[in-house]
Amino acid sequence: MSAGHQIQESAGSRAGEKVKNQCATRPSQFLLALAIALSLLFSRNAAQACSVPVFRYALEKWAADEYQAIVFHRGPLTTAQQALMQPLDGEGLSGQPTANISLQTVDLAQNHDPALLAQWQKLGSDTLPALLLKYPQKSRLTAQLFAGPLTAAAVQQVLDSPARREIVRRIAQGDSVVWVFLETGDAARDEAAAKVATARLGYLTTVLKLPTIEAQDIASGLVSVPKDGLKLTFSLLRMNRKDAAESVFARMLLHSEPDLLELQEPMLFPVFGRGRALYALAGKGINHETLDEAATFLTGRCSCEVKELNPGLDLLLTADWAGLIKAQSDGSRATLLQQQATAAAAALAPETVTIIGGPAPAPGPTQLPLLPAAAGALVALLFAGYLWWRKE
Amino acid sequence: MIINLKLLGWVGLIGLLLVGPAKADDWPMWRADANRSASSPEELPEQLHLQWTRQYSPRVQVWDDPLNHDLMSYDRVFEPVVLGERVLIGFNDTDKVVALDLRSGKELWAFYTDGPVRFAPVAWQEKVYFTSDDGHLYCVGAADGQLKWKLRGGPSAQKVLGNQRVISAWPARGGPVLRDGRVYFAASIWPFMGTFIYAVDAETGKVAWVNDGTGAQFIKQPHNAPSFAGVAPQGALVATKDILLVPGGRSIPAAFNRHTGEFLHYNLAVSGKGNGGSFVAANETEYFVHTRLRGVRNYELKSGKAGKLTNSEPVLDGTAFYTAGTNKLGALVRSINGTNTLWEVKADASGDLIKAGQRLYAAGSNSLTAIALTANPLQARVAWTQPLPGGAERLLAANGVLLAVSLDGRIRAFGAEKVKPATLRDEPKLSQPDDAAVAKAKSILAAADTSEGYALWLGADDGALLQSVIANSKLNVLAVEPDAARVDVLRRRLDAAGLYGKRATAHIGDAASFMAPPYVANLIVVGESSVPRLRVAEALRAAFKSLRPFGGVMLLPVSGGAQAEFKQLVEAAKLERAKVTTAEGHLLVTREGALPDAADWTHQYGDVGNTVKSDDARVKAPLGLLWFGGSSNMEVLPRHGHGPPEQVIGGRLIIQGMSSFSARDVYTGRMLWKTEFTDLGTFGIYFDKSYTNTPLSTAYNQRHIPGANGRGANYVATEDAVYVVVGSACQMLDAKTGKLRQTIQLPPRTGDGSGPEWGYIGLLDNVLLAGDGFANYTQKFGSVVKSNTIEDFSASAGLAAFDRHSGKLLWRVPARYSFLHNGIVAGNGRIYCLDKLPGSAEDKLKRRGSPLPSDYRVAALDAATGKPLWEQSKDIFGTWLSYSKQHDVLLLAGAKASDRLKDEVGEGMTAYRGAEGKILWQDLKRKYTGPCILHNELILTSANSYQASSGAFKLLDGTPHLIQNPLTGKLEPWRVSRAYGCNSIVASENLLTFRSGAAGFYDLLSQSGTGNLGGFRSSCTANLVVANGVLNAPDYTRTCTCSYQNQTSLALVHMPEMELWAYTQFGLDATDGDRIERVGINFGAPGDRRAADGTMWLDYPSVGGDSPTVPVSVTGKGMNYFRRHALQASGEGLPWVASSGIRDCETITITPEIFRPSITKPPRSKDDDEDEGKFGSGKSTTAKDQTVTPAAALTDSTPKTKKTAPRAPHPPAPYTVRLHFADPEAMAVGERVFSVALQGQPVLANFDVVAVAGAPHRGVVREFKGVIIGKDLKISFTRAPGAKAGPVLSGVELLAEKPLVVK
Repeated sequence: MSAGHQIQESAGSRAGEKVKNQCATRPSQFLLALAIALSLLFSRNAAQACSVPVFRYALEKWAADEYQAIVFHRGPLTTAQQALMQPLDGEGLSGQPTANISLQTVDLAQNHDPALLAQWQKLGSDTLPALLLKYPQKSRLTAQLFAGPLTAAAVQQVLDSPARREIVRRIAQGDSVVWVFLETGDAARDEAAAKVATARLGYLTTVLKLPTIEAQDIASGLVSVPKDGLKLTFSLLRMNRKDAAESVFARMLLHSEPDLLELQEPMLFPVFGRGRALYALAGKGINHETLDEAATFLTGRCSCEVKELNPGLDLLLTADWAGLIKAQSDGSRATLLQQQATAAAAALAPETVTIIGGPAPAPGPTQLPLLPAAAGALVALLFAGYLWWRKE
Repeated sequence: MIINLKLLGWVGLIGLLLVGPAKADDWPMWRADANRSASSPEELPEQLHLQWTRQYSPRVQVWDDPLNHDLMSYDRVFEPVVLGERVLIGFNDTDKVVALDLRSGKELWAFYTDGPVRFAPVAWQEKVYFTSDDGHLYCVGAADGQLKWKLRGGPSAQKVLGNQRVISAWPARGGPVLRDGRVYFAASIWPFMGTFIYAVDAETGKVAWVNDGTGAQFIKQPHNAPSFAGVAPQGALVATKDILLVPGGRSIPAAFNRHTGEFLHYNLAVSGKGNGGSFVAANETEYFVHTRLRGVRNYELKSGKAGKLTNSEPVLDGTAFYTAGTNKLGALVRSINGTNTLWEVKADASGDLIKAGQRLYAAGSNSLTAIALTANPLQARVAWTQPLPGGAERLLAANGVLLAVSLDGRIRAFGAEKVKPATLRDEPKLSQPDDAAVAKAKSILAAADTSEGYALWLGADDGALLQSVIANSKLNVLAVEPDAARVDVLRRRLDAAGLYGKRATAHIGDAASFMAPPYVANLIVVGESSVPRLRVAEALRAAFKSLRPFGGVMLLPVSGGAQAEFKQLVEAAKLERAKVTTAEGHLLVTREGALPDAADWTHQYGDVGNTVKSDDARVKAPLGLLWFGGSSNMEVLPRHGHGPPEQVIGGRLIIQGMSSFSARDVYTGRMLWKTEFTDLGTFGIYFDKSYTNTPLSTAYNQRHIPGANGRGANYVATEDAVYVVVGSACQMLDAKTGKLRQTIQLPPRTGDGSGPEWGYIGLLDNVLLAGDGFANYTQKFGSVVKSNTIEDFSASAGLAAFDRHSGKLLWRVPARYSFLHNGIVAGNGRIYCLDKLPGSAEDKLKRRGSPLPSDYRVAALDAATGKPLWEQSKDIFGTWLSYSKQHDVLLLAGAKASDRLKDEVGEGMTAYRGAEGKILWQDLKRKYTGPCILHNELILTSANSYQASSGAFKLLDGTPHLIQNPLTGKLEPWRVSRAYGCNSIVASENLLTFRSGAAGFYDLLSQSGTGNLGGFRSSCTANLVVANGVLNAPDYTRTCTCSYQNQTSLALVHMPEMELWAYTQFGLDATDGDRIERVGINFGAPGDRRAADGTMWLDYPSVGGDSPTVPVSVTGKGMNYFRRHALQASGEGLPWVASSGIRDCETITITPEIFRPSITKPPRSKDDDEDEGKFGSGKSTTAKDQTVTPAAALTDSTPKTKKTAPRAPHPPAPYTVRLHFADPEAMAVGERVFSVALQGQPVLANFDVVAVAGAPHRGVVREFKGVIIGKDLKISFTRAPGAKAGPVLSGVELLAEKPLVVK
């Protein structure tokens, strides 16, 4: 399937149900035991961590850093120009929530701040008003994400794109992590990498187990979902780096680490929380070991009050996160999702891949730690055997 | 008509006599009464007029930073009381209590103590009671100030330097309160020194009861971490009908039964941040404790349970509660009933609020308001408001007079009469010493070559010379003179001159009896009259003991043959490192260099070898105070930034601040110098933008960042210079003055456009090592962005070496990948470097699918030339190198622990021979918490909070270090464990120091277990550094607002007589049911302790901690336990066994079997950080940290309970049984008589402890051999008919007579 034609529902939650349903059968007892044993291998959690997994804690507690929009102009802005800027200034696009962005206007006739003037000159165009988009200050990234005349299309391009809308929709739907797969355009390499990712993530959804959320953490307001309110769900979102509709978003991802722009490799960005990209896996870096590590981290217990101490870059997304969280917790999810789906359907969407739990793939070059895994499996086998024996 | 007038006059006079005195009420103690209600029946005149003003100097509070100022405000202003016609005032600077005439303000008398008087006196029945930092409760006559009696609270006359004054080691800072004819006070603010709480008969001074057993209580501290750190009295005591409240300094108060002294509650852990302080007041159901500024919170009196109401310091009048407040209209006074406001009136009571008769009086910032109360509790009105320029902070009403005390030192008296007010002020009366005295003083100062610090003057003579020395130097002089009259004259003269307490004090005594603090004196001058006394070796030693190392001088005015005589005396007295020289008319005894067996602490981990150990062997447990107070934490980095620890060398503590370096005297804490820098470049490394400088708020904090755990220290200290990295250069400061001596610039590298950066810093002999540019992985490899970039500063791109004196560049070598700062060590003329990438950079390579480097290395370089000596590139892992110069062994390891870099690893060890790089041994799978300590021939691993260490390993062969369990006789791995601790364990020759709730230690000599120095905490930086003969504990807790009892700098030295309590880790690897070979059961003891003879004494009942169980059961009707401080006991056996025990026991059964302890579980993270704010910041490790924390890894190495099959009974074996007795009460012979049987066999008949010991509190030991024990030992007690008191026992010691295990 080529990029940008169809949206598929991710179905990790169904994968969870599937495992549950299979529990009635004897072989499933074995699988369950195996899953428990293997998941224990991944849950190396400290006693003092809270019980909320990282991806959820990030959604609940980590406000997204604000991107910086600067509009350069000379003299007063017209009413129409001011209206153009409104979506950048806390109002959001028409009918949509606000984005994590702040706006600064610079009147070149009055403001002679050398730093700002230097930024303006760097744009390399005399057309005014001009829009400049920069990463959040906290990120310390200096790349220009967008630079051009202030137009309605530019504002739209900066704030919105199908892939970003889809990310929001999936997180709103309950996806734990949306794995954004950035294609190179080289089908063979893309497919190979996507296959590795899809298979491994599918496998991981069967063996990873979310921590049980403790009542105390719910009472403390660390999380707004009930004890069993979380499901482990991964989905893959494929996107072509040359897709014009995603140009700002692709640039945002490709500039998030200094070497990415130069790499002509498929890339994978685990996106969680309020649209935070953990980091990039690229080329052969998309492998079992790195996927396991990223997935284990994001689904593990969090003790992450201090967002800044954790890796990741907040993406520029248009979303009412507080509303989404509330909708998830108070049961108004259906309505919300409907709205999101309607909005998403209105735009061209990137290709998505459904991650469903499946059997463990053939051992790759980097597997789970062999000895502990074997030990876990042995324990599980013994346990399953015990269950079988009792059943008999 | 005339007759009628006379009659009227008589009637009036009689009326005055009857009515006047009946209405006249004293204000006999702080806040009027024993409840500290601030409410008096005294009806003041309708209108008040200023009568007189007494102007003194403003008070300087005892503590010295904003938070302590707020929490402990007890000596912020004068706190007078009034008895009859006298105003009685304590002075915290001139060490006296003064009586003023209430009507005129004129001074009537002054009584001097031996230390600051910081609390309001108590007046009762023509007597005045007050406490002093000299440790005493005094009783003097109110009329003449003559001493009636005095009582020392502490166990000896030992002095310390406390808050820059020489005071008792047990200062009486539990301010006195009087109720029902008893005065209550307390001595000692440091639980580890023992704390002493007294009820004293006010008439006779006889002790009614003393509780000195609560200092070492094993209780939960902030963070819910259990520690030996109990009650720490500091604040004015409160006596309710049945309960005595003892304020706890910065913490909440403790409660005792007022009639018996029995401990009731001290809920330190649950008080949380922002609650606690010296202000305590109570009614009969609740008490009120300081929160912030003038706020209070309510607590249930009986239970200590915290309420939720916060108000300003209240006036308590029965059930009525009046308090100051504000609303949008401004300041007001309100009456409150629970949560209901009964009335509010507009009045400024921001200074103080009291009730006198039917009026409230409110002192504001510039006004005085009288509020009339009415019969209707729902109404009140402002009677009048008058200006009060400058405001007042304390009001008191007595005998028709309202006294207003203000911050500027004024005491103003308001009365009924409209008079021309008098202003009284004492001007300093400086006396000019004669020329001869001045000349002599100058010659003394020249001979001693000192002009700052402390001088001890033994024999003040007429004081003229002493005053001349003061006038011609900056010395603080402590005069000790046996002649009381001379002392009195000198005190009054110095006081009149404005010098007393500020530059000099005088005390009755001599060198031996005064017990001055060790090492305090830069100069000791022996007065001519006292020279003969020093001919006694004991006196000479006592004087010399107080001389400061590194050049302190004692000067004796002798000449001719007397010089030779004293030279011989000094030699005979074997004074440590004393050098005798002579000058015209003087013999000088100089204490040269460092203390014997002492050593330095330089570098981040103690030395350039990263041994994490000080070689100081002088410091050992037990420890006692040397000094406390002094420079606050305001000159120190925020604690959660994990900045470098202090470095200690040459008698100086070198300490880094936000933008400064300072040096303090190791032996007094005195600030020697401070050098400010424009920018040390440490923002983002040792502190960051999360630092908030709001000391009075619970938001005052800095998030946890690895700080120097990652970057390493940015400075290194030597005896003559301090080398500080600033940007691309090293600034060389003069160690004596702090002034810049030289700048050593790191030159740019060829082709490096980014400019030089000085990364690592270290010093091997005269070779100054420089990290040649930071590794900057972010630039090199890119990174997912985050604000914390300490990883970038954790390694250097190369290494350069300079001559430390000339600054000449000697050599520079590039790293292949990066030289990890924690992996650069040196010794024996060689530099060792760990050249590799950290885990985070490797992760990045993995995420790109790039192969990891295969040529990491450990490289050895010649220190002089930088030439490679050898390198190893096989199995290179880890993040840490340390080097044992002693054994020429290089250890490659990790240093994973809390609050360190995420890149750290905690697995694997390889030992190389330092000379040639040969692998001595290797264990790549060994798991542990770091940093590892190289302790002579051992590698000691560390322990995170609520964990046991993985143990110790032999440096030369890597095998586990086993020690004999003194209980079972079996070998088991050595381990140490601790409660909450945000720093790493560091070592000295005899001690491990760390945080375990409070300040913690492990005594390597006795192997008693983990103990505490209760009453303060160590920092998140490992700041408990043993060096220069002292356990240095500078206050590194900046940004901490937890309610630990004290927050200040201090230093400790070995004091063998002090208590030492611990929980032992012996048995962590034992098998349940193993037979005990030797044990002591210490009844009522605060903890465990191992005796010098090897017996491990376990507390019973067990107080907790990770210590094993030996089953004991006790029966007896009304049996109860007692505990005194060990310093109160003497006689046979061990005083710390004799000082506690069990009373009225009938049988004691001991099963000599061991049951393994379990490691104390940590409180939940939320509770753990309860005092850190809403969500806490105590553990802000990252999510990733939590997935790979060594806690999980260490689980494998911590013991698990083994399910063992029931074992066969142990065969009967003969034991020697020792019974330890001491009588805890003042019993007479014949009052406590009992018999004892072992295994049913009588062994003691009609035993009378006091009769045998000769006195109460004296130990008696009785030994019985050949007692056959099968499963249990049963001890039976029988009270003798007619005995007044039941049996008593302090301890039982069991010693198997034959070895029970094959060793």
